[in-house]
Amino acid sequence: MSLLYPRLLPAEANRLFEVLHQVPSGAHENMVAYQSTRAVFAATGGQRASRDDLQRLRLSVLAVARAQGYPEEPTNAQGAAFDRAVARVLHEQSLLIPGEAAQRQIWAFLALVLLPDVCTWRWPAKPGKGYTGDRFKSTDLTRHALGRLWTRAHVLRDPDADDPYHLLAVMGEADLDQIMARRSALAGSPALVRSIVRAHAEDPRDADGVPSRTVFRQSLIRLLRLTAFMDLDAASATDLYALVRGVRADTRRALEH
Amino acid sequence: MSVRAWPYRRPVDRVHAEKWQLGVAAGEPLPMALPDWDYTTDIAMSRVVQVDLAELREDCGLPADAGLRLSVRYWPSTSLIKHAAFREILPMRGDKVACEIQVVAEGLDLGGELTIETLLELASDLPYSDPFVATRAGSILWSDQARMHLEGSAGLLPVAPVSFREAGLPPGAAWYVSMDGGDWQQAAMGSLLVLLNEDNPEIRRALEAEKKDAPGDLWGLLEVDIVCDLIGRALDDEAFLDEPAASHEDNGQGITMAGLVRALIRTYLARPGEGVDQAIKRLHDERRRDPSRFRADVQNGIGFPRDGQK
Repeated sequence: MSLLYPRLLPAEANRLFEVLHQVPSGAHENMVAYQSTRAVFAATGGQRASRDDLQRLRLSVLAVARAQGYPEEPTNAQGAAFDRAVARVLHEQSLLIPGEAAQRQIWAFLALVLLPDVCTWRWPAKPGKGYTGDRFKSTDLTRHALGRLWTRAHVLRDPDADDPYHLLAVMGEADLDQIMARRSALAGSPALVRSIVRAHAEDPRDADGVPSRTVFRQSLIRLLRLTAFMDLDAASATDLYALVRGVRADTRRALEH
Repeated sequence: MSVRAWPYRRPVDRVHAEKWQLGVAAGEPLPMALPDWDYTTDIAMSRVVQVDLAELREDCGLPADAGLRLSVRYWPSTSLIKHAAFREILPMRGDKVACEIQVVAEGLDLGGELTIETLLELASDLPYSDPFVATRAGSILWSDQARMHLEGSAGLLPVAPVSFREAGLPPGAAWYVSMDGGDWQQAAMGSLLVLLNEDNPEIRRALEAEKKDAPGDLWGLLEVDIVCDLIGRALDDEAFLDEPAASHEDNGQGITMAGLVRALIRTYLARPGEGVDQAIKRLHDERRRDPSRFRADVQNGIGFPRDGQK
C-alpha cells in the first residue's frame, strides 16, 4: 500500500515560513496541525494519508528527536544521529512511493505543518538571518530538513543486508552531501552510491598521512569523469563495486606518491 | 552550445533505431504526453534496434570479437533516479543484428517528465591497444533519448480536485489557478497548481465522466483560462520581461516558470517567423492596448473550441 501526502500550496508554504519567524523559539509546537486548507492531494494514484497516519509519523519522528535531546539545542553529533534515525523512520513508515517523495510540496507540508517544532529544533534560526528556506519550503530537495533524509535512505537502502539501512551510518553529513548534491551524475544511480559508500567504509586508513576524506573526495572527481562517457547503470553490482574500488585505490596511490 | 568530446572513436550511422512504441506489440508511437497517467500506471514500451556490428566495431577501432551490449535506462525529471530496464549482450558473430526491446517503467517511481535512454556500449573491459579506442566496460558508443510528459512540467499542469468551501475559495467557482508569483526561475511543477472545485456540480460531473464523455468545452475553456492567466501575469511583471533569455531554460529541476510561459507563447501565440522575444514584446503592447484582443488571440492559438467540443 502507498500513501498520498498533502501538498502544501507554494503561497501557503511561504506564509507559514514567515510565521515560523514570528513564533518564539521553543513555541513552534503551537503551529502543529494534521491538515491545512491550503494543501491538496494528487487526484489519483493511492490512498490519502489520514490524520492517524500523519499522527503516527509525527510521533515517530518526535520520539527520535527526544532521544537526541529535544527540545534542548542539539549538538552536531545529536543532529547527525537524528538524521540517520529519521531517514530510516521516514523511509520505513511513511509509505511514500518514490514518485510522491519527489514532490517538493509534500515535504513543505511535513516541515511547516506536521513537524515545525522538530524541524526548527534541528535547523534553528541563524542569528541575524533567520531560518533557512531550503530546509522548510523544499525549494531544493537535497537540502530539505526531511526530504533529503528520505532520499538518502532510499538511495542507500541495501535490501540484501541484515540491516538494510546500515550504510546510513557510514558517512557524515558533509561527505554524503558531496554525493547527494550531484543528483544527476551520482545520486541518480543508487547502486553507484551504495558502492561508493561501501568502498569508503572499507578503506578508512588515515594513519599514512592521506586522510580518508581526501581520498573519497578525489575519487568522486575521478568517478564523475567516468560517468560522462560510461553507463554505470547497466553494470552488475559486482562489476560496479570493483570499478569503484579500483578508482579509489588509484586515487589513494596517486595521493600517496 | 556545449559539445561533448568523446575520449574514443564512435560509429557513424551504424545503429538504426525505430521509434519507441507504447505497449509491447505494435502499439501507437510514444506520445508527447500521457494525460491519464498516475502512480498506479506502469508504462510498457517497445522498439526495434538494428546494429551493423562489423562496421560499428571497425568505426570504433574495436577488435572483431569485442563484446557489445544494448541497454535501456529511464528516469523521471522529479527524482532523477535512474532505473536499468533492459540489458542484452549482442552476438559476437554476424554482420548485422536486430534486437527487439521491451521495457516496463514502473509507475511508482515516476513523475514529471520521463526520459528513456537507449545505449549501445562496450560489454566488457578490453586491453589497451590504440589511443582513442574505448576499453572500459560500459563505454557508451551510441545512445538516444526519448521523453514523455507524465505530469507537472511543460505543457501539463498539476491538477487537484478540492472543496473550495473548505479551502476558503469562492464556493461556486469552477477552478482556481494557484501560482507562486514572483520567482520566474522556480520549477513550474512546484509553483503551479490548478485547483478544481469539487463543490461545483458541473466540475464534479466532468471529473467523474469517462474520457470519451468528458465535456471538451469545459476543459477547453480551462485551457484558455490557464494560458491567459499565466502569460498575462508574466507580461504584467517587469521581473519576467527583464530576465535574460538564457535564464529561461531548464534549471535541472524541470522547466522553469519563465520557460513554461515562453513555451506557451511559442506554441500558441507566436506568428510564423516571429521569435519568442519579439512575440513577448508584441503581446505586451497588445494586451495593454486591448486585453480582449489578447484573449481572442489565445483562443485562436489554442483552437478553441476544438473540433469535437460541444
